[in-house]
Amino acid sequence: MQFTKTIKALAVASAMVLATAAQAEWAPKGPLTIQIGFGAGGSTDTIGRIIAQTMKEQTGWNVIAENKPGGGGVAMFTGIANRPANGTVIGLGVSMPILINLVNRPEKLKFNLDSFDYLGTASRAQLALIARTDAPFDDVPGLVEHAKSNDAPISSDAKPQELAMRFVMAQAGVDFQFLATKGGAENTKLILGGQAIAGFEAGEHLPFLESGEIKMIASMNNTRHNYAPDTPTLQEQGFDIYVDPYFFFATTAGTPDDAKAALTAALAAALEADDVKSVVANTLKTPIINLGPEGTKAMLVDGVGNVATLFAK
Amino acid sequence: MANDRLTGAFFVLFGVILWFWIIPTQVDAVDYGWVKPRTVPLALAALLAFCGAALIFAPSSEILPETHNNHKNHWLRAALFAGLLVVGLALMKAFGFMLTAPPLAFALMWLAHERRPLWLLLGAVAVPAFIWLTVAQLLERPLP
Amino acid sequence: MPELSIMLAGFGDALTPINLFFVVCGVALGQFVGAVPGIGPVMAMAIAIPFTFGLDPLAGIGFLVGVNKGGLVGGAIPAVLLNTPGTPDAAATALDGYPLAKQGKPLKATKMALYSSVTGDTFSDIVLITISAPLAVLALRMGPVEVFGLMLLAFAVIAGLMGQSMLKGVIAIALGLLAAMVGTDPEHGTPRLFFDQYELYDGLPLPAVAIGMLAISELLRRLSETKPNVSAAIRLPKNQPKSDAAVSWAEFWACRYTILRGSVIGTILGALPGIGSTAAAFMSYASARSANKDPKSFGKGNLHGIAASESANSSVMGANMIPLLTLGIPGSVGAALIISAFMIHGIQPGPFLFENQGRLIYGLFGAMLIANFSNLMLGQFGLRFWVKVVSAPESFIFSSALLMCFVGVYLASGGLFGIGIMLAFAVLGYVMTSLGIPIVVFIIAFFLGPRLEISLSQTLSLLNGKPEKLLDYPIGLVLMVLAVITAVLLSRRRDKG
Repeated sequence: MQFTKTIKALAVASAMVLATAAQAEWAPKGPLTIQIGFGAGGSTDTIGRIIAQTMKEQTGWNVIAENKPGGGGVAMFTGIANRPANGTVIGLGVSMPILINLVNRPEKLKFNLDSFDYLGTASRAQLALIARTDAPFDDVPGLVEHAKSNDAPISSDAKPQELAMRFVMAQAGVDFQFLATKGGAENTKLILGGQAIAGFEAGEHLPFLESGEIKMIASMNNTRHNYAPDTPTLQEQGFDIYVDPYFFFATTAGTPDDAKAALTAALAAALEADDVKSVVANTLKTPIINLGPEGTKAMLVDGVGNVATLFAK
Repeated sequence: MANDRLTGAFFVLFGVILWFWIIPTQVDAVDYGWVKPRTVPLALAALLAFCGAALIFAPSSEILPETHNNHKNHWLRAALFAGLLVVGLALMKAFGFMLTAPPLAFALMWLAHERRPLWLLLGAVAVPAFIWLTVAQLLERPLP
Repeated sequence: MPELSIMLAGFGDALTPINLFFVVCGVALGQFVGAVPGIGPVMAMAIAIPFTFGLDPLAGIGFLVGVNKGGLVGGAIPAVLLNTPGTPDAAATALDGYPLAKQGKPLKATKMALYSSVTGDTFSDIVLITISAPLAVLALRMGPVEVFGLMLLAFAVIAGLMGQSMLKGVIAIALGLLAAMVGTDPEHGTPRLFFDQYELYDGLPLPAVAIGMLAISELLRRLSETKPNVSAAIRLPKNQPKSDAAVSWAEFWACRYTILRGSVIGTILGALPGIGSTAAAFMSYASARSANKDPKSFGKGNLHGIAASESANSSVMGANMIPLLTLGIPGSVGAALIISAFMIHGIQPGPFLFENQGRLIYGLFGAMLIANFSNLMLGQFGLRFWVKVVSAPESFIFSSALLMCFVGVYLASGGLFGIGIMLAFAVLGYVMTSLGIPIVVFIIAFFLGPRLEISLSQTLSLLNGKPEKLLDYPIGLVLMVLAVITAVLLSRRRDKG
């Protein structure tokens, strides 16, 4: 633990040094725009805006946040992929919708993973499979057992989570029914109201976990969650599938190295600021996780393989 | 009456085009689930065609809003204004809001028979300036 | 129920000068922005959220609530004065508000809107403050089947309401639902009818469609009718008798049942997430019309029409806070924005909220009541101001309104693409109106479409191919039967003329 901490501290320190060094040489010509791939008011918007504000204060650049909703970031990244690579626009998106489109309709997209230079990640969404405390099971094998003799409606607000459970369904040879919903809050409502036996949540369920009305069945990510270290992942419970959405930053491929370094460093420094940390912690219930340029790219490349498994491609 | 028959015929045609051409090319076929992506669109296409057919055989006797029957040339003028707005949008794409808004507002007001210089000035200069001041400066949001 | 001391401390917090200042500012801003064509309360809140980062929680959330409540009042103003509602829930207000304004009584019409809006709002706030816990339990019991039944009932009531031709009403519904199909389908998450335009992946942008259809198409029509002899957008007769510029107590009191009915409808629909203020406004309007002795006078400037619509759409917001505070479930876009404001300040709506943050919540309740009062007071000045503004020449008003709609939709839908959609739907709206196909019905269907399809999908999934399971959902079944009865009754009445 101590070792990773030291590494992290070193990384941050070098990023800071890099930032000052690079900033001396490079600054965006005109304003730097952070394009947010979602509409105003959501969690991605909130994160994008606080980072833009912090970056502006730290670097002295004129940083503007702008909403470019559409296709969970696909519209925004299409624009970024097809503009001059001069380091004046950064995109903030979520990995899952991009990966799903890359896997399912690559011929229709005007970009691929090589269309971008990656700058880092802000954090990831911790997806949990939850159920009401009085449900007659505590883990996924228990849920499977329950589904053998009962209807088992599961509420899901996104296709990847549903597909992961369809993967479980196929492996265990049982039937779940899926209730498509418009968000985690609706899942919680259906679970509390008894209409769904289980469902997915990305943090809003924490107070219910605390109050004992809801229990957590599995982590849908590839690691356990920081607030529930005792709840195993789907993989640990014997089903080799996961859903791991990251909030990531990228700019147009071919951006000059000095610009790329300056942007990477400025982003890393902003993510270390206390304001940003607390806003991310409050909206996503997770700490900052910055994978850095290499790590971000690796995460997306691995993600393509996993999403292909999800969609059985 | 004749109008309604034409409207009806249009919706029959529209429903048919939807069913046989637009939906098959634009909506994925999925082979599981209760409400498939095509389920509701196909039902709506059928409903539109049915209502269109019914309108041909039983046109309504209602009186349309008076303006549209009495003043046929309003169609033309409305099309003119709509066209102007589309041109305005294209110009905004090329030159941005600040360069497009004043001439656009001026043209709109001129076509609406406004000739008094003071009002023209207010509409074409003061209003765009006010928008720029509040949106771009006060709220720090980008303008087109 | 927390201790009385906590409640009093909370209400006391709301009354500190700094909080009062932000609530009143929020209301003033909301009223102003809501009244500008093209920018509604939701837009105003989305813009205001980043400004609340730096405020303390009560001031920040009080400010947002103020913006929202002010926006509800402001939203009625363009609907009444110009017949250009920026949001569909104000479209019901325009049905009687605009005819009244055209008769030279714009102040009377807007004041009636203000009074019924504030009354409805206060009603639902009081319900929220006193009995939110049991109502939240009730909301949990309303599952997919019940919501689907309620949606059917809403469609039956609204379809019976509009136009003289049933066929054209159904065509409008089908077109509205078809427009709602654009984007990602709810059950499978596959994109459809989006013609490879990724901006359409999440569906047609709501503000662009609503403003295009309701506001721009009307502005096009009015512009096309301008004559060389320039006239004011609204003519105020000289030496107007006071009774035409004000709402007397007797007139208000005559609408008491209409307002009460509207408030109850709005509160019930508001407590159930996802149905929204548009359905509430139109259901209230429809029921007020059928309860009235003279239904033919509706649509010609009947005060009851304004009262029904405004009391219902304003009471939705207070009731939206019930599932929001108790369960953390937003009932509308506006409520979702308030949740994100809570979260930014590290406050998680849900089971422990009243215990952990009791003082803040009662502070918020206090702020809501203060906001209602400020709405009433500021509205008195605001209405006069806007009536004065629209007595400017038509050419000036219409061109300025068009510019504002351009900017508003650009901000709300994130690009010029949204403006293109807005213009396309403006033309469509113009053509539909000319053919006698009711655009308001289209808009309602468009707004309710996604929820209708998703609750249909959820219902079928729950039934899992066994229709007899419907008997497990008695409330849902009753609502569905009610919907059928309503549809039959309304179509019979129409046949009789």
